[in-house]
Amino acid sequence: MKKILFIVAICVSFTTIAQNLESKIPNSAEAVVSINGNRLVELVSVPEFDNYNFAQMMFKELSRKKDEGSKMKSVKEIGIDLNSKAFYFHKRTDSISYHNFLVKLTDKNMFESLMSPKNKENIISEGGVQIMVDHSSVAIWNDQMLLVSGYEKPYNFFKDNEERFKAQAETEDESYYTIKKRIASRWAKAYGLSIFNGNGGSSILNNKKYLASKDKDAAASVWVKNYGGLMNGFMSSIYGMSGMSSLAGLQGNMYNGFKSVVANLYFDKDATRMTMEMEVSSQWEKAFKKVYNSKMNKNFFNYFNQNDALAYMSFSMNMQALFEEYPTLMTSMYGGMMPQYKQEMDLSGDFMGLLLDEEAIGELMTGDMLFVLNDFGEKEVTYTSYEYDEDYKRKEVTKTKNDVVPDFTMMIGSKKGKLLNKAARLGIKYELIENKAGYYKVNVPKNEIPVDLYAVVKNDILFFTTSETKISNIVNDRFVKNLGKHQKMMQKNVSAFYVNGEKIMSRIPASELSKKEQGFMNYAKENFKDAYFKSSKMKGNKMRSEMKINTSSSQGNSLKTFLNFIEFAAK
Amino acid sequence: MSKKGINYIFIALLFLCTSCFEIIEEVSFNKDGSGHVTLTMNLSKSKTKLNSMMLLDSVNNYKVPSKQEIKSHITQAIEKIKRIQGISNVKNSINFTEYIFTVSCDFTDVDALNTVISNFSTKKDATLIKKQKHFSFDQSKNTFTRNYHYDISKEFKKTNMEDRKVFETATMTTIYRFETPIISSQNATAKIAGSKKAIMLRVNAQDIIKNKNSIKNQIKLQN
Repeated sequence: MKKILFIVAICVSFTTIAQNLESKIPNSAEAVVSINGNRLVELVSVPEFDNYNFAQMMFKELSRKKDEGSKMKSVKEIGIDLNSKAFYFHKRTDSISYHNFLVKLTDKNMFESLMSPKNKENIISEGGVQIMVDHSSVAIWNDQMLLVSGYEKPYNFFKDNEERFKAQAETEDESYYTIKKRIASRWAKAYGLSIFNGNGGSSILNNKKYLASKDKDAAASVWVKNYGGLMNGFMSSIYGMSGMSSLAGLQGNMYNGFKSVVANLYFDKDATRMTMEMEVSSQWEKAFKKVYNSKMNKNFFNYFNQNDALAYMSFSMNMQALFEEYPTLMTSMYGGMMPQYKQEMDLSGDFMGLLLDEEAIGELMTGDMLFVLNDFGEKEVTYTSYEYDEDYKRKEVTKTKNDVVPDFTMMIGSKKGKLLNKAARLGIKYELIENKAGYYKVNVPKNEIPVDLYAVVKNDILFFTTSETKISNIVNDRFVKNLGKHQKMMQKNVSAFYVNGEKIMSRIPASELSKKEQGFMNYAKENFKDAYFKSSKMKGNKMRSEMKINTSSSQGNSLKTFLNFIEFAAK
Repeated sequence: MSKKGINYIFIALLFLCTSCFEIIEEVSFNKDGSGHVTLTMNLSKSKTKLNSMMLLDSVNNYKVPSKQEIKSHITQAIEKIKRIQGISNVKNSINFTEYIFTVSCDFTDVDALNTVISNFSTKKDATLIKKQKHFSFDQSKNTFTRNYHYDISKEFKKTNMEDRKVFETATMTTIYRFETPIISSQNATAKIAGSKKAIMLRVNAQDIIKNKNSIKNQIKLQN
């Protein structure tokens, strides 16, 4: 019982410290990244990490300024608590933008020992904390915690307020550059101290949306309060509020439709996963739902065989809705960017609607698309070389060799079969296309691309494929489908990109790769299985996407698999 | 366009073609030291790859030059060669179907020929070429020498591993013809024709890079 209580006490104390650290992040932060040290150490222990060559290289670099004999041998010697969470957060004020890093310290002296003697001279002790200020960052620490705030002085802000700040010169001949530096570093120090001492106002832990976004299993998480606002802020810091911006009329509001973003990174036993969720404005939500919440034509699934696919990419949206919604979206994006031209944008959007027959376009291209990489094959190609007679006079000769070419199938949804066939007949007239038994052969310039290409329109799908057998099977209803888990993947998502790593790597001929690439390939073949990226349909006002790489479990967990891969690559 | 630019375009083209290319240098010498030279770069074996790469913007961090760019750089180089003293009858061909490029011209002496070669190099190299004399003909000893100043293996070490793969199967061939019979040649790989009036030397780029062989040679002719 005592033991249990003890463990609980330790756990609680860890979480309390982590929370203490997290509570220092102000509610006004625009973005927060948290790194779950505890989870990472669980996956790769400190001694295991220390053994990596790249880690040792890092130690060497870090302890360059240290005396011989006290060289770093472990990541623990940085003095940071590796079992705790570490945070990054961003805050932009009207004058300065801050990039802050917050970590828990285990040993202040160890951390200080990594500094150069010159840096150490700049440390000042004030109110029980150590402070070091330079022209681009402020570091504040005590026995438990370290805050590093990098700060940027936006050129435009100081240009716009030049008169006001120049009046604050300390000596007559103090340059504006020095004044800027002095003022900015004073502000940054005050900002850093307010965060460190926790009197920076309301904490991020009062933000319900932030709290809801947290996932304790994630190795790292990103939360952005308002992606649109953040991007607009970056844009205006680049273009500024004066000068160029007034010329172009740019206000930097083109990202207005985006709201919060949450991303989480997971290292599971046999997979690495990243999820992302993005909120959009109600106007965009309506438009996106019309465009993206269409279902892929079921006919597509009759022409997919997972045993015959090294990789595929599917896309399903409503083309008609896209053309209908496009003017509205454009007005909202560019109207926000150039408000004085909003009316013009509006009108041109309406004009576009008049000129285009959205329904007809939507029938010609429904918006469903599936590209399948079936295999890699070899094709014989000719090339020019020379032969020499006994007097070394050369003669041009044509030789042959085999080149590796991809075998693929592409399907494009179309309800305008008649129109497409008409176009094909015109192609036949001009000898761009040949008529075969129920399908077409496209006359690809062989000299340039050594593949055969066949096409047919069937069941509201326009097919292109490099395989004559395949096209004949499609035409004669002999195609054998085998969907496995992939039907769900294509049906439930707006887009899906899938790669069967194991298969694709065993099919790429070694002759195409350098020795190093072959080494990579073999390592990857053993350790990575397959991977996908999918972007699901809109749910509420959220768009969700996920990337997943399935790894072999032989190395213990996927973080180890990746670190071992880095180690292997660095050799 | 500077000489560096011309070089860059061709180096980029070579690095892009990841399997194979050959360079052929053919020179016919007359008794008075004048002659005719033909330089050929044949990338035909890699044409499938080049065709697909020409569709891209850049590959392995090398910008892919457009056909138009390649053409205009060659034309500029040709214009410069035409202006060299002692050079006449300049001809060139550009074949984008097979990716074969040739330049040929007549020269009055080896110095003019050296200037042609230096035209494809950077300013620094051009001065070195003139000093080192890639081609030289010693009339008193009746000896013809092919030389170069580059330390290719040193230059090669500057490239990254990926780029090195390009040279795995590349070859360089030199063919020289004389009016008087050849007595001997220093490079053991070189083969003298039955007529004794031509000599061919084919070297793998790999061997040049590893300093196992080179296109350097000294050819002794009959008096």
